[in-house]
Amino acid sequence: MSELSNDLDRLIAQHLDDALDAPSSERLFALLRTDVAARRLLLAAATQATVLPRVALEAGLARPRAVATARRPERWWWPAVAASLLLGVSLWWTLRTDTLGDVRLAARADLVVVRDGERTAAQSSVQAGDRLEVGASGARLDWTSEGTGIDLDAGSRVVIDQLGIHKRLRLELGTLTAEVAPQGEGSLSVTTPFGVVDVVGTRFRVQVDQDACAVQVEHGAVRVTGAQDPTPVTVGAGFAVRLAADGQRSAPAPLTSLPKNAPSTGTETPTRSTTPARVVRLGVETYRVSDGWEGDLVDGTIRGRAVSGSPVTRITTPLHRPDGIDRFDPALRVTIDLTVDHPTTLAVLLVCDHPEGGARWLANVQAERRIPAGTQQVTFRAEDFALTTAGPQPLPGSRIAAVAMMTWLPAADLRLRSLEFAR
Amino acid sequence: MGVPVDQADESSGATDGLDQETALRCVLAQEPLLLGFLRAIVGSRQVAEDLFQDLVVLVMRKHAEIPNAEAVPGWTRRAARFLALKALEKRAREKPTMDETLVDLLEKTWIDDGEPEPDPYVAALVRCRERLPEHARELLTLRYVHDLSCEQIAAKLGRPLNTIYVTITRLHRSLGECIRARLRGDDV
Repeated sequence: MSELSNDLDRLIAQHLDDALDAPSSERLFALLRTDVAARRLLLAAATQATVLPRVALEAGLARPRAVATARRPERWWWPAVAASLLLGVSLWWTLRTDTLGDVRLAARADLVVVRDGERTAAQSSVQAGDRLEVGASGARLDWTSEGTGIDLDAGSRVVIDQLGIHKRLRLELGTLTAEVAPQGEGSLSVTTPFGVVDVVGTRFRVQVDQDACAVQVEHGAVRVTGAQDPTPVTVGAGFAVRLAADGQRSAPAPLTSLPKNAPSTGTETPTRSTTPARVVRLGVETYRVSDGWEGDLVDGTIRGRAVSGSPVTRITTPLHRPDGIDRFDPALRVTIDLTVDHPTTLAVLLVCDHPEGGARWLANVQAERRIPAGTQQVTFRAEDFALTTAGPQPLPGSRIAAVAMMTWLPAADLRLRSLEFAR
Repeated sequence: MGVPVDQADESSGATDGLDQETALRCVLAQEPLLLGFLRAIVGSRQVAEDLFQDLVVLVMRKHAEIPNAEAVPGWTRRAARFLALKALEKRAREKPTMDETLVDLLEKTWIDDGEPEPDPYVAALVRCRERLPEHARELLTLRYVHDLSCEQIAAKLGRPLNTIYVTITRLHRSLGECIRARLRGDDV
């Protein structure tokens, strides 16, 4: 290879590594302007760079390999690859066994593990075939060496179908939230009655009830395959899809990120679902850091925070349980006093609890509107809100436990002054 | 056919174009190629992925401007180019970026070479990757599956950074030749 070719190769790899300094950038751009072969090579390299992670994943699904353990200490990994095929195979089995033993179950006393048909008390180890019946306190599965964790919400029913490099969980009912480290040529999939979610490395939530399954991705990407539709759809960060019992799969739509459900105190007093004609106002005047806002008090406004790995900037109110901020009913009007730096879509998500109390989450509804840049008041009526989660519509009088306000890039500076509920 | 010249504009109100579901399916089917095009322009994987999401949001809003499924690749490519140029404007404050003329040249090269169909392209890449030697596959895995930077790989393997850069691009060149041959139907 000539010096020029070497230089081009290095510059292209640096460009795709986002590691070009200014003089190198100018040299690469000059080459690209004059040499069509250089442009072809850059386009080819960039496209391959995009597709290769998926190709590797698919290869790994069919033929697991030791490389899936790249998060293990380096001195174990690279010599193994350099060694003979026999050693490589031996190592794979060794690592696989380690991985099997690596998963830990962080559980409370109210979790039941059904193993070989026997119901046992909570324990810290799980094995393939175990069925977890999660109590009110929730539970968590941890793969500590690779940094993967899965939170199981109260009431969830999960079967561990497979452990090791290829992990497969079956979520029969309930909600899990997963923070998954890159799986290399291994895999992690969540099977539901309505379809399968395949993960590369990401943070996502799967929610299953009798009617449907909702998949929401906060970071990274997952591939979702419906039970009656073999064509997978890739769902990226900031997006969600819904799988219905009739086999219908919705198109990916902007994410409605759920604040974590708070555990029920069990002491709430049931109340009637009538809604008082009052005005409730949240915002700068009521803001306290200790309340748990997602947003920061800056220059007399609450400034939204960028959602990692997604084009969304978000402000979320503290969770108001068990009473709720207000009630959701047909007369509700939500007015938001805000400022944004660019025209964008404003989405307002209401987290709705059961009207009878008990801090029982019921549904999320969301309204969206295109808004111009600048300071403005935006009002949504009850009919503007549409259901975004699997399950029933919020009942009249449902308690609004929290509100999230989201904008999308290019808007990056979202400032809230007040959020008013009135009728 | 409308080109999304300004994301701030409301939908045109056209009603005879593609419905949202169909438009999104078409765009998501083109995802690997569009992401590759975006990444060639901006370099950074993260920025390219963000731009693709912006593109999906744009399609959700403006799907009615796309007359039919056949028009989706051209529409989305122009939209991707527009979004990438806007992103480059921002990045230009931090580092040198491609100018519009160079982006146009890249787009023209892409069109002149014929945009491949995503599925045959992916299938060809799978086969071509299988033909690479073990160490080459491992290197690509470290780079793109484990998402290590070339500097991290060099440190991990104890090899010069420049060697990693050059080797990876040579692998891309080799894969590119193999893919083109397979897509032509040549016996590889």
